[in-house]
Amino acid sequence: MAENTLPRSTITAMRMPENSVFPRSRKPEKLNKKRKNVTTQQQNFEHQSVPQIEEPVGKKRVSKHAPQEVSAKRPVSRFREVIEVPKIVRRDPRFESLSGKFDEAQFRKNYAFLHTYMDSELQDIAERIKKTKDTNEMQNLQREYQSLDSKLKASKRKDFERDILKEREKNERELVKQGKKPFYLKKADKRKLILTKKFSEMKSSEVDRAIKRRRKKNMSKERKQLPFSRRD
Amino acid sequence: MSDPFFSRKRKRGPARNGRPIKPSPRQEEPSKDIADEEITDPETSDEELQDADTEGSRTTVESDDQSVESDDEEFVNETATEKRRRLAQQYLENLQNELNVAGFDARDVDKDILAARLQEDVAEEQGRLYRFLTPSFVFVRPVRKFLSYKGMLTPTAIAGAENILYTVSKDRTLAKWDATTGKRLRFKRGDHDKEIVCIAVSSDGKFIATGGKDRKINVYSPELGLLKTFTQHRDSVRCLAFRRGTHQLYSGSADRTVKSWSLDALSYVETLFGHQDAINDIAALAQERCITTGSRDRTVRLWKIVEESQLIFRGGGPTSGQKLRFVEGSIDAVAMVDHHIFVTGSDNGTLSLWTLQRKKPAYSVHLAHGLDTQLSPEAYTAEKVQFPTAPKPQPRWITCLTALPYADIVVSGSWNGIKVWRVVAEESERLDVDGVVAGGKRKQYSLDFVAEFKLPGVVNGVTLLENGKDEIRICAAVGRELRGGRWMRRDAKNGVHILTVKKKSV
Repeated sequence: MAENTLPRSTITAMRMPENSVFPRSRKPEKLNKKRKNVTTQQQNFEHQSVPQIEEPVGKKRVSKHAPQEVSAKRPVSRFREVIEVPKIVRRDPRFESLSGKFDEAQFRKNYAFLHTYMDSELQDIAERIKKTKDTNEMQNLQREYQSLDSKLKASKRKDFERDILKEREKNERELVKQGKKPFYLKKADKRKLILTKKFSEMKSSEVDRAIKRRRKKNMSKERKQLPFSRRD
Repeated sequence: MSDPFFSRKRKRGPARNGRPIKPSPRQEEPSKDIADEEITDPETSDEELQDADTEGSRTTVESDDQSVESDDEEFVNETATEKRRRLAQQYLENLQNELNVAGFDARDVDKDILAARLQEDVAEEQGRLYRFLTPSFVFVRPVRKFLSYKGMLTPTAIAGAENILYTVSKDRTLAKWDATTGKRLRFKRGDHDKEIVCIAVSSDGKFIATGGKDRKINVYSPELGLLKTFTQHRDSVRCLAFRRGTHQLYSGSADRTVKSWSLDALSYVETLFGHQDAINDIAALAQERCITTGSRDRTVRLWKIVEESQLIFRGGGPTSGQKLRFVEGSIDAVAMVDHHIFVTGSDNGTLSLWTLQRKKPAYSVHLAHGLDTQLSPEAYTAEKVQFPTAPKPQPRWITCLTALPYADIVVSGSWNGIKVWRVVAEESERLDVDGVVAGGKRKQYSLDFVAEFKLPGVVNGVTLLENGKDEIRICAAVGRELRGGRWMRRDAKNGVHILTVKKKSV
């Protein structure tokens, strides 16, 4: 026992063994690597924790009920933790397997409610643009309006395209069930399909305008390939 | 007799002590001179022994079989089976001679006695509990004796071999007593500068080792002549134990190390690390292994010295399932029952029985020595206006523990006396998950209370001495203070109580 003057329960900083209620706290990882060749002269074990030293011999677990077998030749430091503090486990759901894999369709379904707010938000921004007199603010608001507007339009366009392609897939599946061989479209063909569907729903004036725009675009592209002398 | 066993001439000396102890891979086994001399007793009529007389001068018996062959030309052309047969016959011969001390003809030794003795040897070699003594002894009204000397301070430890007892006390004295007469034979003072804390005696009584707060281990001969002082420990030496049947000593210290010593060479062998708090108690049997308790780190460790590894057994749980819950703060005492079972005592009064297979106790007796009496208001506070409620009564710690090797008796001590327990081994059929009987039997161990003997004072050490087959002496060193400090004072006389327990007369 300790000297006669000290009480039996000493209140010095002494580490408590692993059998406490709280889980073991781990020390910083870099100190782990230090203890490769432990000799009797090496006495600087200030921050080494119990789990590091009690490394099992052979690293093979016989049974979880069996006593732990550990080397008897590693010196132990005089420091002991009296109260073990539980380590706060930080988890990033982006990198965790518990969160599962990203499923785009499911994601869209879950956050579809946001689109219901987007229209009202657009109107809100338009009103604010009318009201503001400050040019800076107006510019910012305009940018915001543009961004939100284009987001909405893009999402609508994507939905439209997805529907078309899905319909085609459904038809194909039915045919396959009936016995036909599956036929997969190229990207170009897919675009063509989408375009035809789009044009079929538009009015004739709009269709004309769309065609005109495309032609202009294509012309400018082709113009680059012409030699300098022939460019207008 | 036409049996070649009796007519064949023998040149080689007998086997070591009749018991073939397997040698450790690192050390040579020491010789046993006494055994050789006993067997070369010229009074016996067997002619083979007269040949062994010539070997009487040869005292060292090598364990290597190769050396034997080089000595005796007669056995050069032996096959392995023949050699085994010859060695087995020699062993039997030794046994017969041991049992045949009265001088009868060896041929008349009863085969049953021989068989029983062979079984004992096998059991001891296997390291299993084979002596079921408790049912055959009477624990009611034992013969009591009290040993003390004038000026004796609190005895801290006690150890004994055959009929000799040794005690050490806080007055830095080592005393040697005769357990039958109760007389103090010798005493030694002055070798330790501070209190002597522990003592151990080898199983043949040839070496006595004491350790104290001055970090020294002193080794004495049976006449209490100082042979050697070891100063390698860096803090007080708390416990000592001899490996049974050898002169290897294991010491546990407050510097958290276990050191192994060879007393044949009077030298230090090695150090073992692992405990995180001071080592309170140590126990060892015939194997090159020892068990130590680490007081407040609540672990009990079995040291496999040859393999340089340790098995960690963890205590420290509260007394679960009990109405009164006291957390096990410190494991203080340990005793080895056999190679696979050991018993520990802790400061919440829990006596636990452990098996080598599980890291938690296989069986526990909670509050083994009960709760202490509640303190009177005058005792627990010096204030005039006292608290309305006194502090709750606390369990009595288990201050010491001992067991007879390979037998089922365990004795624990606290400050209300000693209690005798019995290790009960039950074979139950191993059940599957669904409750279906699976193959194999499982042994379940438990501790049964046998008897209690109230003694005044704190029992700081207890040891069991066997006087033949009929008597067991429970020797309890009792003092006014605890072994480790002055946390309490009891009104008692410092000394040794010897309780002699006899076998039931049939």
